[in-house]
Amino acid sequence: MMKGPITPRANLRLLLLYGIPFAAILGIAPLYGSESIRFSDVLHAIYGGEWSAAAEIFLFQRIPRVMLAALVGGTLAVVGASFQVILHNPLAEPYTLGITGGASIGAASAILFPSLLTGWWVFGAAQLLALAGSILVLLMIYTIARRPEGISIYSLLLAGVTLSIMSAGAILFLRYLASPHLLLQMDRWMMGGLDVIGYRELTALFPFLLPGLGILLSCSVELNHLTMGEELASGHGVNVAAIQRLVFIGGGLATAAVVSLSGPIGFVGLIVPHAVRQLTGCDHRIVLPASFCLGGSFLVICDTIARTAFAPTELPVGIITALIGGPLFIRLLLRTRL
Amino acid sequence: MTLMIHPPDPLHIAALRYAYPDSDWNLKVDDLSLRQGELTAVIGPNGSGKSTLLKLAAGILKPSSGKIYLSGRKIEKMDRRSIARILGYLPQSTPYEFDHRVVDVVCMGRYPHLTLGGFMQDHDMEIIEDSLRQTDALSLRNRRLSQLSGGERQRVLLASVLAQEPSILLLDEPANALDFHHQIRLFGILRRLVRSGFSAAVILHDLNFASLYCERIILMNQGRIVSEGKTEDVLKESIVQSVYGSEILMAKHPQSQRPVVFPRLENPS
Repeated sequence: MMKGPITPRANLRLLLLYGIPFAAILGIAPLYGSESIRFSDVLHAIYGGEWSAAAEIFLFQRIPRVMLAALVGGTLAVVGASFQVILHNPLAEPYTLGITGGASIGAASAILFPSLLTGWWVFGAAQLLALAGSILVLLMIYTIARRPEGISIYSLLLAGVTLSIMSAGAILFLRYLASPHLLLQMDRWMMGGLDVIGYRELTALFPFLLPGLGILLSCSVELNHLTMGEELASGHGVNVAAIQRLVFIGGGLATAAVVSLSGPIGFVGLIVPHAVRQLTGCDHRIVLPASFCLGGSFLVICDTIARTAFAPTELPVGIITALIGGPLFIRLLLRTRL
Repeated sequence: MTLMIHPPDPLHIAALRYAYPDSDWNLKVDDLSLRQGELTAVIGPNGSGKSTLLKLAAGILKPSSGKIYLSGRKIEKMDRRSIARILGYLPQSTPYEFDHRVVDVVCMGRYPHLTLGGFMQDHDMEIIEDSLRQTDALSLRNRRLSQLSGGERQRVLLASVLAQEPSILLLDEPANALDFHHQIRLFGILRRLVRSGFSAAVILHDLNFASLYCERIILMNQGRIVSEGKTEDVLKESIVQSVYGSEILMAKHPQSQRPVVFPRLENPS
């Protein structure tokens, strides 16, 4: 155990502990899939040889898919870690603020009324409306929870839960209107999934994801302070209202970007941050980047299982995250004190 | 034009008004100063406005009107970091969710002096050691918060406030939930700090500790200052009874002439 406070070097060392396995998983995961391909064929195609189906699958299906899983899992975990701190609630996760509800209404409307909107630039119609729904929910919650001295955390939490319930009602209504085969499409969206082919969707993530994650990572020192309560943090010189606002906006944008593309994927944002804190302590200069690596690794593994377990059909990845993540987390709980 | 001869008081409050939203309760303080090298007790019944006054003085709550000066500068014009370099504030309670190491909590106090990344330099580590030493907490530095007793936790949090290198301390019930021994120990530490030049205001419920350890007392009731001044001038039977009721009996401490209080018994036997 370390004696002093963390140094930049110790920080880097700890991050490598998470980063190296993450990189390895990113490298290995594309080799597995519902169709068996020979890696030598891929290399052959890359180095100027004959273009093959294997290279096509590897480069344009599996690699973007694995990258997406890594980004989505990593982002959900970072947002979860940050929200747990500012909401003072260990059960907080990216979806606590009701963003998923807004996204689901958007996506369901797009599926129900295909003529409503076509895609634009790199965005698909369902994704655009889901994004719009998420942002709308964020604005509503912010308006409700805003106070002259910052944000009311309790209002934020309660408004988020209330909006989630309201959205559930609205979605039931949309489902009532939908025909059976559209219902199936909606259900698939609500289960969450990463069934993406190509780089287009990846591009679509970045405009909101990058600023969102950047904002959160830049707040990591202040998040440490907020774990000791707003008043002590304020006394120590932290501008608490500004940090709460930044984390809300950054986390909200990043979640909106992810949810609009992949639908709700549970568990990652809830358990990964706790696992990281159990493993390497609660300094958020480590917790945030480590959550990204661990969340990304976890979702890539779950997605690989989802793609291969029942090949050629594919399981929604949310099933795997819950079935694998739950027991793993309980084991961690039993092994260490919390 | 007046010529400034004395340096400004460390903390000065003028014509301060504060009202909580949706409530009739309000706080009104016309003129109040903390002096250097003095320990001031803020006493009064529950709901009398002690914590509100301290939060206003620490710049954590914004007053409805009035001015607060830190070393002659208006607090409203200062950012949080500049305030934290002058004034240390210890809240009444802090959450227990995250199990930090003691040394990391004390490092948090260096925030107003740090640059990007928040990593400690050698100079910061000296101050952190010193802060832990001043609160008799050096031996706790590698423990986790969950492994501390209430008294140890208070000393660690106080060390994190001292690590800010402030000259003013505002402590909201630091002796809360401490046993007799640890209360005495805490006040020993506070006396030492004040002797070394701090100005400190401490919210207290125990009038005897206020009397025995503090030079000055601010007695509050219903959002107003009832009496303020030297300990022996404030802790008079008539004044104390006007706030706390007639069930209070006053006497002298056996070793000194300081006033002490007892509950008045209905049927002494």
